[in-house]
Amino acid sequence: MVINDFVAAMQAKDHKALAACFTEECRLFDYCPSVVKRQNSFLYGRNAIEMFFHNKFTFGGFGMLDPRVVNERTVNFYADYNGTVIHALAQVENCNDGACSLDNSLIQELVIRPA
Amino acid sequence: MGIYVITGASSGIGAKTAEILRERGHEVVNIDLHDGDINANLATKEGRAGALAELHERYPDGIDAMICNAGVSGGKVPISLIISLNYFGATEMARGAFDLLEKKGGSCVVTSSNSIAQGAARMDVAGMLNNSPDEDRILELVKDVDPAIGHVYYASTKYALARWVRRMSPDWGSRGVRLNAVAPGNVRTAMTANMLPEQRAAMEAIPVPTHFGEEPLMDPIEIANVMAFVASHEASGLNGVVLFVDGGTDALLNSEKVY
Repeated sequence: MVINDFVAAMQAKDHKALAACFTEECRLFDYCPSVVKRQNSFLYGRNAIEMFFHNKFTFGGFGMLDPRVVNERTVNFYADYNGTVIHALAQVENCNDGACSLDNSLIQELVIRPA
Repeated sequence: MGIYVITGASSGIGAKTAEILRERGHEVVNIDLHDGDINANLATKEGRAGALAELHERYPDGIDAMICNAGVSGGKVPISLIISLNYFGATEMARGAFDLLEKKGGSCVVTSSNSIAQGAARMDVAGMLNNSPDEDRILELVKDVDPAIGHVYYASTKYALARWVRRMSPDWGSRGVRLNAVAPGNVRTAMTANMLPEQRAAMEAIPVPTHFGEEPLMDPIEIANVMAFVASHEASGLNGVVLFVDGGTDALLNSEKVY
């Protein structure tokens, strides 16, 4: 399932593998940073996700701690923003095939929110 | 045609900017450590004073633009050089040329960096530079700092430089002299050619969207074209602007900062 690939890429801090989980014209929104008065992230497009997380993974700006995959659309984890940790849920809102459970499913829209 | 003075134009962004300006028919004066029209060490008070004296002697009726571009990156050079050249070498040259710019309703452009938006700058250092800019005392304070953390001081000087532009530009603008900063992204220059492997890896993790999947460094001409425009009379509406010329890196990393 793509959710497992997503988690694996996050844990490996592999920006290319992470981007490969998404469709070309996808969206990834992260509403957790504002909890600690930082800038939320609104990423549009696979290339933006690849570039953004290349930066974040290199400089410690984002890490996924203790992920628990709840189902094919949801993962419960601790988001680590340079040492500031927020309990979060990553929710796949849409996939290219509507199911998110096929071998070749790709994420169309993913939202990370405070848990 | 105008008289454009530019520091650090023997190579890199400065050289390209000078080339563009010459092609447009302007008289260009390069002030640099070597191979300049005026050779001067702008990291020293004496060097700046000498260069400014020569400018006043050559152009008593004024100049059209002063582009303060000379600078060094961190990593291999003493911290004191980063501070004295990047910050004082720009602000003191700009101040010293103000009367010449005023005579012709000219423009001043300084070279900052998009690293100012990436959290590396030390705000205490930037604060010292902006609020109590005693060069001798600050250089004494940093004399034993390890050059290995030069990138932090680089970002700090460039942050202070951008803030100096924001603070000074209303007054300068009211007196007919525009003051702006250009903040380049990662550019292929002599500075980037000498990066350590870990610096190169860090640089590549600050992606340039317009170069996605290609050479990660911007070409100096991409910056130089903007520098030439901002310095020109065509940009008469620009004052107090810190213009990011980074192919979209700042937008990628700070999309929510629209002001």
